[in-house]
Amino acid sequence: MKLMRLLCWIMVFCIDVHVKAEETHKEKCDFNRGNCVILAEDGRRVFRSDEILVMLAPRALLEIRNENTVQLVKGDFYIETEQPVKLQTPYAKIWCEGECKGLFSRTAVTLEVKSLDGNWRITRAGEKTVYVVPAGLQVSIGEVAENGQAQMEFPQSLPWVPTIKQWASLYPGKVSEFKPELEKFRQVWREAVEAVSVLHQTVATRAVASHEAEVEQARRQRLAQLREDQGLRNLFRDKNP
Amino acid sequence: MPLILYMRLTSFLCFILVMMLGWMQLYSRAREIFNGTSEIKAEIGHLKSTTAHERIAMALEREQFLEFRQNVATLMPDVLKSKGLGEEGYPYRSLASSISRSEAELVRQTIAKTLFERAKDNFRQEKFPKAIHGFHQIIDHFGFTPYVADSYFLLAESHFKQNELEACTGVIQEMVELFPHHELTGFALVRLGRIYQVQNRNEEAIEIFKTVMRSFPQRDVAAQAKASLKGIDL
Repeated sequence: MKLMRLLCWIMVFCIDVHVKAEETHKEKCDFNRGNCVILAEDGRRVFRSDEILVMLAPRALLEIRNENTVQLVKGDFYIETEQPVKLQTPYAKIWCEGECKGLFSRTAVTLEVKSLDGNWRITRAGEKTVYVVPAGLQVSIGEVAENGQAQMEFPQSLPWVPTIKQWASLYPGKVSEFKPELEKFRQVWREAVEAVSVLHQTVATRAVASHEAEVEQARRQRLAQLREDQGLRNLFRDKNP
Repeated sequence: MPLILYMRLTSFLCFILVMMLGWMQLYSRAREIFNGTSEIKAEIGHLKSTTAHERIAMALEREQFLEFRQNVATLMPDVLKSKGLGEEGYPYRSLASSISRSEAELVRQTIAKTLFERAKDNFRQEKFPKAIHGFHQIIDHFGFTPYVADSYFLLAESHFKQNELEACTGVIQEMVELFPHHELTGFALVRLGRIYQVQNRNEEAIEIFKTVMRSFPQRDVAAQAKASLKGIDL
């Protein structure tokens, strides 16, 4: 029996076991000290600190530059924060007062912000105005245009299916934890869709009214010009009968 | 008795198996060490990690440059208002064109226009090789500007003037594919008909002229095609 045990031990010793360790090669990153880079390679990767939780999609890259500032460099991110952490890109700065959750997609020329919970605050490059993106809405910000301000589109309601797919793929918890969050979000999303449709209607009505006013003014100017031309012609005819 | 024999035999076989595994392991390790495979593997690993670090560094540098560019772009409108006018303002306008895409597009349009005017001048002065070079530049590098169709047409004409009939036919064919309803394509097809006429391919020429009359609603094109058709009949 002893011999058998010995043989088994030798056999086990000889077998070359490779276990793929996910966390072993990762560097430590201290959020408060800054100056560290986090890259998700082929799989998604999570970064947790007291201030923020970031789930990086495969091949996403972020840089923690200094205290409380995270630069989103490229890729998709799911971010949860309860602290005034500042998220930065060349096109906009984003932060949250209170508790927020959101999905962020960063490409070379755009940043897309999808608010899942709380009110995210945004200032775009070249403008000091603070825009609020409540839960259930999304906004896209692009490069700085000729007017010196980053291009930003009107906030829109989140598209349900793509958002949920993206959220599910980056959710840091278990499926059982995700389901109740999703149910809670559905209600928030419904309200946001309704609110935005009303807002869009108001803006569209205002735009139409403004356009109509412009058209009316142009018509008045044209008529005045015509009257002046006619007057000149009459004057010319009177002088040259 | 047979049970003890069986046990011993099993132990012996296990021992042999373990020995064999051990030897195989030893052999493979020794092979890796003595033929340099392990060193190459280590080097590949090192190179991979260096490349990954360099890639990250590059992405971060690109990000910093992008940030700088966007910061400059936010300052440009005020700078252009105060300093961007006249000859002295050229460096500021040039900087603005390099940081803002729409400005860059305007610059591209201007370059294309200058090139086109220069090539057209060469065409008028009958410097056809220079004109051909210019039109090719516009077609190859400024494909989305409004001067492309004109460049194709004048390129075909330049080839025709140099008696390069095959090249001329090739350009006209490209025009038919790229701008099938353009007025200049109609004129180019009339030119093609005349080439066929010169080459004594009258039937094909007639067919071309008739097609032009049928397919191009523009009065000038149809009139030219009709006149050319009459010329063949005479």
